[in-house]
Amino acid sequence: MFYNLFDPTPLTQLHIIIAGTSFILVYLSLAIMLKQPTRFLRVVPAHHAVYFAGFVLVAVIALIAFVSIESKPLRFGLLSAAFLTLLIGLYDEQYSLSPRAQLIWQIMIATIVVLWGWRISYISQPSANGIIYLDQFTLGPLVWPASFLTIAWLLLIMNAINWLDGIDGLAAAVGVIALSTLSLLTLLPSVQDSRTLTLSLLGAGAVLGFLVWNFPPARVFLGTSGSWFLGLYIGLVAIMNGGKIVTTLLVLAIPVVDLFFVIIQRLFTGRHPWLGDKTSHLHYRLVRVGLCPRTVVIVAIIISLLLGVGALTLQTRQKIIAFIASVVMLSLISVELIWHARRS
Amino acid sequence: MARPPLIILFVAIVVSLVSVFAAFIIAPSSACRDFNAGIITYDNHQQLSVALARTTVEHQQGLSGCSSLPPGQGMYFIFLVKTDISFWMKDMKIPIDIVWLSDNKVIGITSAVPPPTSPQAVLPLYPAPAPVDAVLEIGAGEAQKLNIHQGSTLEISY
Repeated sequence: MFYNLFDPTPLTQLHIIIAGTSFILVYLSLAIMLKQPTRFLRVVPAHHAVYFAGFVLVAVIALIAFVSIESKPLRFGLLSAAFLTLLIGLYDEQYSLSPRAQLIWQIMIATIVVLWGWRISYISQPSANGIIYLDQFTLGPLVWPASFLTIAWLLLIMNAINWLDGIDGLAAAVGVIALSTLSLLTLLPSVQDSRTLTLSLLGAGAVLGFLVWNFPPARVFLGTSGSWFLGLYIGLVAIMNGGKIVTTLLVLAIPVVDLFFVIIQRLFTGRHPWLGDKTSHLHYRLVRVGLCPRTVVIVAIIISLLLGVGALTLQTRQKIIAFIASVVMLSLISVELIWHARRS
Repeated sequence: MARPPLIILFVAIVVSLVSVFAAFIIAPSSACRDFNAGIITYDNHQQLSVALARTTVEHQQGLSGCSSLPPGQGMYFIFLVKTDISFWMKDMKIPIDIVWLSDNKVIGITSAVPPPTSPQAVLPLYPAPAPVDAVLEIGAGEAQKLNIHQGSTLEISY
């Protein structure tokens, strides 16, 4: 079935070289960094030295993407957002920003990429084989409603990935699967999108290089810079050439559902929705009922892979149904775990 | 913990402001459109690389504000349904040939359409000869040079 599914015409040697280079660059940079222990970016409360190394991922992806994106405004948008994410992320890793300050900076980063021209101009219409255009009219450099939906989309994915980054390897593993699914999606006969393929393969290679060191027990953490940028990058690759929104949402069902669940839970218990804790998230609850972090990551990988296969084989309408089904299933698991916590 | 170096946040604010400012200045003026978005293959397997206009906003912008259109490049307008449409040259700076297409066939060419002489000038309308589902804009005189004529077959891939 899969043999006939893809048409590899857009795939060139250059794509393989880019993916391989990004993997090797991230992997080797981290290996070298870990060989020469420094105090720089060391996570203090750890048994063995663990480092915040998101900056390696940001630097490698942003620089290779900068040379491979053809459009000048888009590449400058990505570069300035990456640089800003790096600064704010490194600051937060060392000195902790307040949740409100984090949100304001995220809005700033998303707005900058949108001002440089990144936007979701159209999405496919689920009820018919048509297209819904999101470019209705321009407001200065912004386009209504495309630019505003794009900002909301980027904030959603950035926060979903950031909040998922609570267990070693989880966010990076889901990130690799999301970017690999987007790569395969571009090889479908109906898509054939060489530009998105370049960016998604580059990202998948780099994040895989990171995952080797981030898999439990982790030697490096994504930190704020890494997880914000990973989310931002997945969000941008998904909108590079026409919306691949539903596909991306389906692969990222675990973090996205968890994001909403945690917000609802915190609102119900009268807490600030953006204030972090070590209990609300699905992955923390799974660890509390006795799963080891490695098992949680492997389970998340299996679920995401299944969702990825669904994203590649289903039509838009079926994808929406699959997304709703996974929302219901993940919600049931979350509710069950919350009750379990209450009972014990 | 050491006192947080606020200089980092200060640099971040400066970077944001510079980037926002640059986005306003550079983004609209740089290379006008992305002329590598699609490839048109026409008779005898000759090729043109084109920018795409798919959305309403892209249709309205067209090549407005572009100060040059190199040979071998153009802009391809895609319409979802066959439309009886007229083009005008609002904010255009260069003369163009308008190639009207229906089902990948050229059904008419409006040659050497001049840009408006002043921004205030009354803008003439250039109507399609029949309903079209795509329109190709290329530099004035290019249609003849490239031997694109009525009945030519043009296929787009992107």
